[in-house]
Amino acid sequence: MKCIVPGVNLKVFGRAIHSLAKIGDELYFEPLEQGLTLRTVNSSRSAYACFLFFPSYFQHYDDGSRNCDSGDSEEEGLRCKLTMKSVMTVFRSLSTIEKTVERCKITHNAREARLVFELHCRHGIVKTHNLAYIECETLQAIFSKDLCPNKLTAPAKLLCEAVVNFQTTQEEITLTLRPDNVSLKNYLEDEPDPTKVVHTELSLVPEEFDQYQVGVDTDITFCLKELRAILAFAETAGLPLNIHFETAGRPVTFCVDGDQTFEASFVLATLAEADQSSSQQSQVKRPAQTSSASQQRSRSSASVRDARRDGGAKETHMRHGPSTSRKNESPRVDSSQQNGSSSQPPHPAPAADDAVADISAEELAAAMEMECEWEERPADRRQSDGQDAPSLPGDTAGRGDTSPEQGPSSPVIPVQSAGMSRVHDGPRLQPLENDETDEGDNLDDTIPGTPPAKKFRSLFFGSSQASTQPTQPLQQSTVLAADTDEESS
Amino acid sequence: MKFRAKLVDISCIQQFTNVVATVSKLIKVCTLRLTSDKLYFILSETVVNGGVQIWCELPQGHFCDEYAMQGASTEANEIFLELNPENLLRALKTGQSARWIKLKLTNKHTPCLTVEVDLPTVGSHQRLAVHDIPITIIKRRNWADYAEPEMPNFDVSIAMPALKMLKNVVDKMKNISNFVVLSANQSGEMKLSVETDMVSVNTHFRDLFNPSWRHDGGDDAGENPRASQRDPSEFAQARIDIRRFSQFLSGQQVNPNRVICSEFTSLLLEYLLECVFDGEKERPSS
Repeated sequence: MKCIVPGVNLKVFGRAIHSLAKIGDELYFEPLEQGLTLRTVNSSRSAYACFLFFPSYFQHYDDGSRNCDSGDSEEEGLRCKLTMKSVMTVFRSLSTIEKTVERCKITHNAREARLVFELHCRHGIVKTHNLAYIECETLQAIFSKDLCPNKLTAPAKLLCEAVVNFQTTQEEITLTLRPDNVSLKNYLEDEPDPTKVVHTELSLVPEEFDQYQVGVDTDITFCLKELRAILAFAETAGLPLNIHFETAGRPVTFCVDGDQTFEASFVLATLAEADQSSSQQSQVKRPAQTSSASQQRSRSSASVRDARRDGGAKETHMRHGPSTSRKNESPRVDSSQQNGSSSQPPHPAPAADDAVADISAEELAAAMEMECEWEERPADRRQSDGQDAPSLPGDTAGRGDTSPEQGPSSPVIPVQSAGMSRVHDGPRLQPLENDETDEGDNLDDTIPGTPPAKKFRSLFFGSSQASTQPTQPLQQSTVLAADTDEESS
Repeated sequence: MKFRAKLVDISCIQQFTNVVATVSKLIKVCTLRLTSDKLYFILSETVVNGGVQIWCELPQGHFCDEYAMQGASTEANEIFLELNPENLLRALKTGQSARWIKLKLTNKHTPCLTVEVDLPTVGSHQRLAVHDIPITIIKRRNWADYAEPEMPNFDVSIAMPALKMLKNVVDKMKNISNFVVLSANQSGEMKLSVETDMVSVNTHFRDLFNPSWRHDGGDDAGENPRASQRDPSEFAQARIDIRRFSQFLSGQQVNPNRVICSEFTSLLLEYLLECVFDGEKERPSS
């Protein structure tokens, strides 16, 4: 893997990283044939961001897949995550970078397991950052923007000017869409006493938007912090922002695709309407839909694997072995955790690291889903999903070859069953979580106002995070051990 | 009870915002008094150590293009309300380039001071931001609590040096002691002193202006008797809570053209900010 960002484009790259850093704590880095993807998801899994930089964006782009043929590289496609903190050290001061850096070279040092950022500055100065990473599975949220009845396109400046009217401490805002105007309000139902706080409302006329398409009158509530991160990027890039959304409780998608060389998509969860979240209903309903979502996801991850096998398994290189076995066979060979999870244990099974990445995407999708519609139109969804992010192996495989996604039934794939088991564990853990509402609320402050849903979700994330954090290093070490074994033998 | 005011001129909007900013720097909750020709921001705090009083008058005609108010009753045509100046400031800050700002009393979910901001747009569209600031109406029987404070007879009145410099000095002194002693005489000298067991720091200022203070804006031609009878080189002293003093110095957003510090030999100190815009008075005392 090697790519060189020319100096003129580095600003956008840096801005993208700054924007991602405002959303999540980890940067998912994945070079693909279609371009370099940078993704993140926020800690409460209610916001997902994905940047795709096309090869034309770079002065030189090599995603590393060709090296597999030569046999001297162990990467059959790097998929990793870095801590946002470490990446931010590279791109901390954008003004300095803009002034001094002529190009930035990003390479993968497989031997040391480091991602190397080389900043070639003027006067021949080279700053090299070796960043440690964790291998992981692709992070992908499932969303469909093309089916959304409501579309708004606006210059980022308009939205920036609108958003500055809200206080910096404001957490959520409500966007009310009507045929004759759009209004933004601060969301206050969370406040202990709504009569004691300032109510702010801003109305915008349709003429201010480049595109204004109202399918259904809608009120959606989402996080302001993430929106600010999105706008910070879109404004400096000087590109219009496309907003796609359906109804309350369904995700809202923000896209920046006005440039030929890169595109960015952001998905934010929205609050479910109060009546929809009448507790019992949502508690019963949610597991069903999350599992269906995870099924959906697992199909795509199945296709990811198929694609990989198509691409890589022919050359089955020494180094390739572990990674496939990690994905497919390890649950059988390596009895430690994946076995447990595949057999649907009573506890939330600690899933493999790669599964975690997968699941986080599922969670995101699940979190955004309020209605059980996944199964009703899976084909549409896959297709639109593919359109949203053409870069993703899962999607491309899904588009090119629809049979694998319909074909394998869910329990076959261990990763997915890990996800399933976790999903099923959700309801079981619920009473426990109810006792820990405080913690849950801290973890997920994006869905106030719909207490049952909030509880459920915070439980969902809470439990997943609880299992994710401690297991990750452990998982990682298992994988590494397997690698070295194979290498030495 | 009705109130409606419209600020159109951008400099008026900014000036009004600065006044609110100054007030909000000093206190969390203040009283807004509305009469047919003036707006007042009032704070009367009576604390043993360093209570602050603010009396800030704004003539409506200077700021507002439209102004209409109807008080509690015809004989008492005034409105007293309590609000958080911080909220008002935030609302006004969004309108620093607004076409106009309207202030009005509304009763939405609760009694509110509604700030309507017409934001500038590229075309002819209207982009309206509405902020509803919750307020509490003060009952008429409590109005007496907010009477204009009496001006005592001062020993010394002196125009302060540049506030920025003064603030630098005071901030350094803040690390040494909790109280600063401010002394001044009628011959243009002022000194700030802090003292501890270990150290004593004095900062002297010379050639300052001693305004002659007249009661009620000059109706009474006679000078302050106490000040005039004094030996011009004799210092009058006042002890002030240094944090409140620093807070006051840093809170000044209005670029006063003159800050007058008037002292009384007891622990009382009065400031008068005579601002570029006449008639605006602010007088915290500690």
